[in-house]
Amino acid sequence: MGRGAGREYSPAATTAENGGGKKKQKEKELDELKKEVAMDDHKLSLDELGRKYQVDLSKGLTNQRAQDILARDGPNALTPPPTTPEWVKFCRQLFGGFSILLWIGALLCFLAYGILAAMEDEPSNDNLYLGIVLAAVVIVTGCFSYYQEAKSSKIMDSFKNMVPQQALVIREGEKMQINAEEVVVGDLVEVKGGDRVPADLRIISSHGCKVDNSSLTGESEPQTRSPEFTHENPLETRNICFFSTNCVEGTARGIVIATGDRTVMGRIATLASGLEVGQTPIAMEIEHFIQLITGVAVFLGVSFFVLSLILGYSWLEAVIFLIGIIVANVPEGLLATVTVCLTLTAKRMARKNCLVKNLEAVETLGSTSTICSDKTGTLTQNRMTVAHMWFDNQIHEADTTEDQSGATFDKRSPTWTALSRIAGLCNRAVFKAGQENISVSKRDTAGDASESALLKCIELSCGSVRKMRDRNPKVAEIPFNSTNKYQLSIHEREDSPQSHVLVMKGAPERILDRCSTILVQGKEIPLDKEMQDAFQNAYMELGGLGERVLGFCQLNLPSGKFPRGFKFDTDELNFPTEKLCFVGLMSMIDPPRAAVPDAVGKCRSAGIKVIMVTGDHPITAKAIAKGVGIISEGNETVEDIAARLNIPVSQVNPREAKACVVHGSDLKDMTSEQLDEILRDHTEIVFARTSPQQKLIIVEGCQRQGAIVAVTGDGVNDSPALKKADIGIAMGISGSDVSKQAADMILLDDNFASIVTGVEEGRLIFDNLKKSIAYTLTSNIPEITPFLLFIIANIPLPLGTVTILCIDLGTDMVPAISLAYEAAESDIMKRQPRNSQTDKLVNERLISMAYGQIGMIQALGGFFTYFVILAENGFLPSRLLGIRLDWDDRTTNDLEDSYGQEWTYEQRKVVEFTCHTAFFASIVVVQWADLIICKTRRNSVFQQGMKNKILIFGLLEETALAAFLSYCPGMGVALRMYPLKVTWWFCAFPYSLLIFIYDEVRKLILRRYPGGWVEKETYY
Amino acid sequence: EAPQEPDPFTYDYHTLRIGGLTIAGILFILGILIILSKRCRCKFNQQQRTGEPDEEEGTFRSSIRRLSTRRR
Repeated sequence: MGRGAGREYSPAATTAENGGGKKKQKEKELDELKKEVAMDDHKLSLDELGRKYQVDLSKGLTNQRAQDILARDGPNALTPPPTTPEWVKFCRQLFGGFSILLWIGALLCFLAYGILAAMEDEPSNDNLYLGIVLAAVVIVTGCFSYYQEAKSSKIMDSFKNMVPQQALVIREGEKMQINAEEVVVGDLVEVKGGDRVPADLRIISSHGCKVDNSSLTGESEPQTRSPEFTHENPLETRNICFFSTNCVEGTARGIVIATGDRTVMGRIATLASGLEVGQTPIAMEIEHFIQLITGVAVFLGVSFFVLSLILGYSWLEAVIFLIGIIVANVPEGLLATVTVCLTLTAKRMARKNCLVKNLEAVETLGSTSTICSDKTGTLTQNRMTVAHMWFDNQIHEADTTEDQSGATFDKRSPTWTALSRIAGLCNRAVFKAGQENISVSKRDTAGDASESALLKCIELSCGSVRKMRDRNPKVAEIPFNSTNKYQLSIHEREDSPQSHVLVMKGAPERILDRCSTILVQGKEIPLDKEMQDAFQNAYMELGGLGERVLGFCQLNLPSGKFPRGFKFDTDELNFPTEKLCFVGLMSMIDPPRAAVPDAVGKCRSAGIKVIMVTGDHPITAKAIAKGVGIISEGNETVEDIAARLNIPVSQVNPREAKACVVHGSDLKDMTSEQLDEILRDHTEIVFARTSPQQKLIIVEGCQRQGAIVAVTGDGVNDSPALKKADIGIAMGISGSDVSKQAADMILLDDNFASIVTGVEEGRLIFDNLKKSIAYTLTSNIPEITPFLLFIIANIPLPLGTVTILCIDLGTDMVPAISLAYEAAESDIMKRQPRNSQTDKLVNERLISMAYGQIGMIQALGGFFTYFVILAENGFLPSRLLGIRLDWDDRTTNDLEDSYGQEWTYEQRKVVEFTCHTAFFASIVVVQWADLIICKTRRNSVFQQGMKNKILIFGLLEETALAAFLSYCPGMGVALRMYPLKVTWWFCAFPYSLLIFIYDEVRKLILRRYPGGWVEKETYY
Repeated sequence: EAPQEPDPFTYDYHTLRIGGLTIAGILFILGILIILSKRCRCKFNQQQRTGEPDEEEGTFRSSIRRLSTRRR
């Protein structure tokens, strides 16, 4: 199974380019952390150890000394990453991204108000109010998103393991249970099966101790721990146990060599919290959007500034205009819209078991182009399960599914009865008590992973193993050890009152060597060459599937020679251990989760590359990769091609192979260019035997290719990569606290398939945000143009600040948000991930559509209404030009209209504000059409349908609000909005219809001529 | 007396207000009804989708089967 070969976890080459030229000191520390552990305690002899830590290896530290060291080193716990103070988080919400735009707007308003106040005796308060409203919008939205994130971080806190760990230490010769936090360097610690290792330990004595290092290395198989020094590399040597790994079985005593943050695990956790993370894609998009909006605003502002100077306005007036235009360009409602849209999606994702820690990560998942997935626990179930059996010269499949829904095999063969008896008896694993009501496959066991797998398999197929053991009591046993490579026990036979049976399991080749016969269909036949070949084939095949294979044999001891009560001596071996009867093989694997292959397939069709990065062995990794489709059927690695063509590996052109399995020890020797080449040339990649540092390097490599990288993982070893990734996804059930802290998103059900749902939601929200923004921006034009015409044509102001705010923060809000509920136009999981360089959230085409085309039609509609109302009141359009100064003059109370009627100042203002109200109503009417055309970007609305109920609600609600604002008594005083005659509502209807037809025709042409001029110029 | 000519300079703003507010109210209630009707439909469908993808049995198994047949 490829063991022994390449077990190196070696120093990952530190990447010099990482981090850029920021804080040198910090970078140096990080580089230091990125290097592997330097430690020599494993090489020291026990005496040297005792001297180094000044401790008596039998009695342990004195209490006094332990106190001193505790005071010096601090508690044995990982320092949580420096939490950002709440007020900093709050300020980040207040001043981040989009809010800046609104703040600048607000400041400009106050500035304009200040200038006006200094210039005039009775300045209009519009600018002041606008400034206050802008500030209020930012603050309210800031509070909202702060509250949302606080809520999800509260869920995070609930994950934290509150139970304090206990540790058994020996101090002053006495064993005592203490809180694991109080363990200090030099302490003698005892661990037994089921314990969590409380600190980094150098083993000084052990009894069959095995530890599960999967949280550190990702390797799912337990490893033996003993006092001998076996490997230069501290991560590989047998005599070191690591903090927060689990002891699976046996006992060991060790001396603490590092505590808290100085442990290997602690260093990785520190590495994770020290990494700089880049901007999220959506933050970049919003930045780009702000640039575009600001560009348009400044362009308009400056050109009208110049224009107004030319027209003879005073310098200060021109500045007021400049500020007014710039502020009018700020989409007040958009910040709230975007936040609410993201929140809605985050909620929807949480319902589908993806908990998002910060809102922006919602979209990041949608733009993901590469997923680097950990194997153990994410793709697989993280429990060994019997997958195959070989007996009667046939391979049988066992049921590996989580819910035991898979196929079964023929259990009638007497060989199976024998095999199941050996597997049940020659097995030290037991179920933990009190789990009778839980299904067998989910029960907790005490013991080795493979023995537990056998136990569960037998329990499932043959009933209670405990009863079987009771009926066949054990009389002698030789436990497994690495020299024998077998485990043996002798039992009294239930079916024969006088005799014993010897059962043995172990490494298949060792077991076969001890056998002379083989059981076929319940009959012992001699183990001839043919049978041996059959065995070899089966063994090779199962091994090739990445499975761990065990061989089983038995011997019925003759009752004459070994009667009941015979003293079996396991040291002297007074019983035969040769010429046994071979029964069969059983192979185990950590099987993939049921939904994973499907999810990987969906990722592939969505253009997302799935890379497996694991600490496990290449053969196992490759087998699982093939099982779940990460290496798809028919794709070969370089080695496969070489084997097929029977040529050396070096002669194969690496580019011919689509798939590729990279070994951690090869990775360490690679330059970043070579890594780039691998990532570029192969579509299906598996990295095996990688160290945590290498995971980080792989993620950086993918990011160099321009990919948006998602990393999934559960162990502490994954946390640096989780942090570095554009979006780190941790496992909610099996994940460690450190990994959850480093991640941006948490899969509550640990299911890789949930990621796919997340990707879908992320892509959908990106599309829908585009629509929302297009909708919101469009109404900017009918809001700005009145002011522009007011300046250059000197007409009475057609639309005031209050009414603008009523649109932006009133009528437009619900419809804009409702677009977040819009269904996808086409199968979004069938297209490639968005290219962050070319596919922007807001591009020039969107601006040109919203501002230049739809917005202009809307403005026309508004002005039409405005001129109709004024004409009905006696002011024909020709009379209006240049009337502004007289119109706004409080002292002119005899202004003549086109028919010679005289108007007082107050009368004129009522007409003007009626016009504002009508203009506002017209914008609502044209926004109906805009909302309907924004539902789709390519399809016709007739194809899309009107299934979005929230959108219909939005349409009705904005109309109701507009009618309410216009007709509610008292509005004339409060907001200066007046009732509109019924006919005035209909002035904008033709324009609304025009917008709808215009855009339907545009989309028709767009669909008819894909790639044509219309698509190039107008498809956003 | 002859019926009065409608005066183009007066407009029944009172009726207009009442009519407008009634329409606003109707639209508002209609909107709420539409949202609520959606909620109700939801309740019927809620059992079916819990977010967990349907467990397909044996995908891994069949791939292993394919694999082993190819090897033979």
